[in-house]
Amino acid sequence: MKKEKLRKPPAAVLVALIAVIAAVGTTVAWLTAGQGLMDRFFSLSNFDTKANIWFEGESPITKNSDGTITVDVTNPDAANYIGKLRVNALYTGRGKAYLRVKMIQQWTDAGGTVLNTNVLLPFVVSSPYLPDDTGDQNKWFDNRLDDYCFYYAAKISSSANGTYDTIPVIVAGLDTDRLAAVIPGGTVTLKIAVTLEAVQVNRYPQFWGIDTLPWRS
Amino acid sequence: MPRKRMKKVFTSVVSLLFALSIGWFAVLPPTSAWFYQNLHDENEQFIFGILSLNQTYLGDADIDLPAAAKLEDSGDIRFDEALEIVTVDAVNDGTLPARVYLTVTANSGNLTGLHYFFYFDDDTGATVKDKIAGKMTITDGNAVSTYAALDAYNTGSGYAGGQGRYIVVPPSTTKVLRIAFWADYNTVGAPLENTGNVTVYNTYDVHMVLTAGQNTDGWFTR
Repeated sequence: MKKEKLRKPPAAVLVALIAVIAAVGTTVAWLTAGQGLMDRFFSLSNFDTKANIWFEGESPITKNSDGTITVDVTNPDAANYIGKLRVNALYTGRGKAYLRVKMIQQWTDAGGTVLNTNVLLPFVVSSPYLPDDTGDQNKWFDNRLDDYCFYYAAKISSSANGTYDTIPVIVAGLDTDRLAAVIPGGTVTLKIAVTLEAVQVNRYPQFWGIDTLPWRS
Repeated sequence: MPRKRMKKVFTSVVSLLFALSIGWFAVLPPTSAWFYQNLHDENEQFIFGILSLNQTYLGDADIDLPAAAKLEDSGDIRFDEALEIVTVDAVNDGTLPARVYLTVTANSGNLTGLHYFFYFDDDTGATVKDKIAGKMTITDGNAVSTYAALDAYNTGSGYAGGQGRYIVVPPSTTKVLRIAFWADYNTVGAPLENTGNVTVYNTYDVHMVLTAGQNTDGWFTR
């Protein structure tokens, strides 16, 4: 009976097969690209802001019909003494904005004549932007000489929509010695108006009429 | 015998071929693509040959877009303030240049109103808006035309090769790749003006793919 013999493939064929696979593998892999994957979840919110203004230790503030507040600049015991004035800025929203507090003053003499003066009232500002500060800071930049405004020198946003964060502006009255030096002579009356403005970070040129934020210029 | 001789010759030739093959692997430069790894881990890195791309921002988080903007508005001179910029460090320690493409898609929902610009610092222009203007036409006051040009630049014929913007990372070079995102005010702006209702008005679930390969046309398609 004839026995069928199982023949092994020659070693040379196996070697050739490996060589071909290696060569083909090299060629194909050259055309393959590597990839990197990234995911981001973006949200877009708006914002709101308001000011909280009061006289320390006194009942709620009373505004004049034109929205101004009459302040007493000489009697520390008066309910509306300027040294008791306090201002907080409140902000909510995960959208980012720039803030400024505008303080406009109107001085009148005993006869009711409006005085042509706009002295800088020496308020003690919370976290003032100092002369050697540079760049954005979570501080108030006093630009009143140019436009009667304090600017918050950084973008602002709150951690949650609907919850107002408080940013103190004037929390410790003012420097009374310097106040005495700047008050116009005679019997005078002072009215002030305080407004808080927030603008989305890329549109302040349109709303505020400036190309560069004052602490950056 | 001829058959034995032929077998000897065949074995010699194949052995030589095998040796050459092994030698070829040994002398290949390290950036050759056959050596690449594709890695997606918690550090969000991937390695192509020994070209590595590393993000400076790691992990998952909600990111708030600062504001909405109008690319086509020449008055939006502070456009850059409204951008959220994703930064990727691309390091090519190899000996061959690598080309990197970007693809942006939605993981869920849609990306209506969200736009992006893929660039790097050497692109001409002081601001991102300047860099965009250097690469495509911004038609003042015409959002439709402007964003059509941007789409062509990002993904189509608006950039060389016809597959949209790519950035070449030369060998032995580190490049900072950036992707600037913004929301188009024309599309999303109106509800944002309702400050009586402060809330999230738009969300975008964005998936980005950076694809690296050899610096030639043709291998990448969208």
